[in-house]
Amino acid sequence: MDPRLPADVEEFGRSTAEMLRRRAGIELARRAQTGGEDPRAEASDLLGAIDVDGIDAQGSAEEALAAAELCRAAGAVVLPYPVGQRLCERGHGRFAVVADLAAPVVVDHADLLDAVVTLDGRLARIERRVPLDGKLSRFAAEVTVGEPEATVTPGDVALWLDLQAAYVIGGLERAVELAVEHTSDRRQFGRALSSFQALRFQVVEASLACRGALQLLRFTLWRLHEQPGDALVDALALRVQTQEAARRALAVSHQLHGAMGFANEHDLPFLTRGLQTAMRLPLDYEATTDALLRHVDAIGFETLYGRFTPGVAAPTPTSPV
Amino acid sequence: MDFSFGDRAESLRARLRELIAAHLPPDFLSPFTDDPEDFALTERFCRILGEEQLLALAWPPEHGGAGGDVWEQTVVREEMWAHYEPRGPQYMGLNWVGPALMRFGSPAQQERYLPRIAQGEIVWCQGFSEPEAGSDLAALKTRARPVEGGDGWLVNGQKIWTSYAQMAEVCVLLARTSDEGRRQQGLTLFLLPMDRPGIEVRGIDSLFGPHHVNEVFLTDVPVGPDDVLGEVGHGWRIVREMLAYERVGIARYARCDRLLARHREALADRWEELPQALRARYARALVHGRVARLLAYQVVDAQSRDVVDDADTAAARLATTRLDQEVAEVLMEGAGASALTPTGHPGAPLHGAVEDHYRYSFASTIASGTSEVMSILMARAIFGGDDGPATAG
Repeated sequence: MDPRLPADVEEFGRSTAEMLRRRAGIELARRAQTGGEDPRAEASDLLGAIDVDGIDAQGSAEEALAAAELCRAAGAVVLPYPVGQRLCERGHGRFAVVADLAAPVVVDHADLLDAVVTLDGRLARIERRVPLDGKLSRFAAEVTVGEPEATVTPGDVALWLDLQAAYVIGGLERAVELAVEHTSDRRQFGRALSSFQALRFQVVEASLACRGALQLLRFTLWRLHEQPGDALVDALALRVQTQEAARRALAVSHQLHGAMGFANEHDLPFLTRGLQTAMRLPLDYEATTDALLRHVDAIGFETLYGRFTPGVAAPTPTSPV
Repeated sequence: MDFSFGDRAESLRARLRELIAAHLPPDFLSPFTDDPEDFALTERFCRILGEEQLLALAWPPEHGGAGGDVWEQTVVREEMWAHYEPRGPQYMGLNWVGPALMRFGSPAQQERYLPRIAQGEIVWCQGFSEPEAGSDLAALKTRARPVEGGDGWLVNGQKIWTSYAQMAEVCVLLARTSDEGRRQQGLTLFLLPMDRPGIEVRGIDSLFGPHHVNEVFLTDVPVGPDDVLGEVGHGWRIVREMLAYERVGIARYARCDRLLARHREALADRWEELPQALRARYARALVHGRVARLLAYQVVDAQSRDVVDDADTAAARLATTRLDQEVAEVLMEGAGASALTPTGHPGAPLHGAVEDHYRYSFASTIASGTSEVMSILMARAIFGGDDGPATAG
């Protein structure tokens, strides 16, 4: 047992986060969300500088962990770019996981993607894109897709979901950091806000949810290679925890920032907007829980005391669930 | 990064499960029952573990242990807690009284107590909480006054919520020996034999059933320098360390995992009849159980490297104690009206384990440091500084 991130992966994550903070910061998200610009080519160049395409996320647990650290670092600055999608690219092109092939199918960064893949692994080409250009979905589009033409393994679907979770977790951790900074600096009633226990406890709750999600992310990526038959049910479990953390951390951070948290001169609104597509696509919280339940019923869920659903075993890694 | 326990620890887990299956009845829930056989069962089970060197597995060999690593120790904690702690009161001696004795005890104390703890022969109780000193432990009023012309003290005061007091041979007692300096500075720990004159134990009927919690009244109880654990006036520091051991010593997530899996199996086809919203809560509880387990492993790893982070420890404990309550609610609803069937009746779900877990779950976020104390510790680690009240955590 060694629940620590490998030292080289940790160092890679730290240096990547530092580089993205220094060279992109929240500015790329700011320009995308408020200036009507499309800075994704710049984001792509930044990722190219750290050899993002040299990471074989499907290759090993260590590579998957490195990919997740990169996504987490990108999430911390809500980098406007489909970094997880790029890391998951395979022979069938760059894809997004979707709940269903029936319209309306909404996909983030649809113009940079080739295909969509359902949870059960059916791949269909994107044929038409209608940009939403929404306040919470700057680069999302409603897409029309062709007939399913290939099958993607549950492991590939799961990795895609896991890397989306990593991006969200990175953004949430930053939102909690901002709350700590703001409540430490801001004084009301003659005291720092952080001296009020009611406010400190809210930060504790947000931090707790994020810590749990981060540990679960790493465990899920390790299991992706150890127990590939459970990849999808594990990814859905991670998504449930991440979405719970998202609800908690964004609500707390906004509440503690007060009105300042709405203002575009602050980083927080960019985090909030920038995380929405990863949080809600392809399945929001309740729909993710439903999907988790369906998979738990179908293949069980590993506990310390056997599988939660009796009489079923994890499927083979390559069979659709 | 590797979350597998490895062959040695997994073999240990299998052996423990064999012993449990062979020696414990399926309806064993606690030594705290009206049936004295339940307590006797824990004593017999401890001897069996002792014979296989599984009782003090993690202790160093020089103190009667088997020198097992922290992950083997974790397996023992998980299996024992998941199966209703069949070591009975021994877990306290093994998990933190023993380690505290190794760290702070005199050679004579180590010689007197450690081999007997390793063999499961001695029952301890913990005399910390008082009617006016719960989370604010430093407010305790039990006082040890020096005996004039002698080198000992006479202890007067009252302890409360003391588990195992009726069966304990020795109490780890925290008492005030001085009023000088900060409140935390004048406290001393005594290893008080419970057969000393002036000790009266009264049981408190409670939600948990008979004999679990007690009051201990202390009237002119004599203690001497040989009874002091560590140094006079240094009790607070030792208590903080002991509570840190205790907080990760209880693998609550393991019992929750086992209860959820067992209940799903017991429900069989009735599972499909449960409301979708309730089944979703089972699924979420499984996720939260996995998270609580991972946060606990993070702390175990940090402890093994002596780099414990207060925020990590508090986070692990908050997650696992809340899980206890979440699972309790889910199981009670999943069992429906049958959850009210008393233990021992044929219709009681999981031999009464559902209602048992529900009753005990209320204590999870209170015993060994309340959730609020955990939040104070975690906030202190996040924000830095020393805001908030001094706690024993």
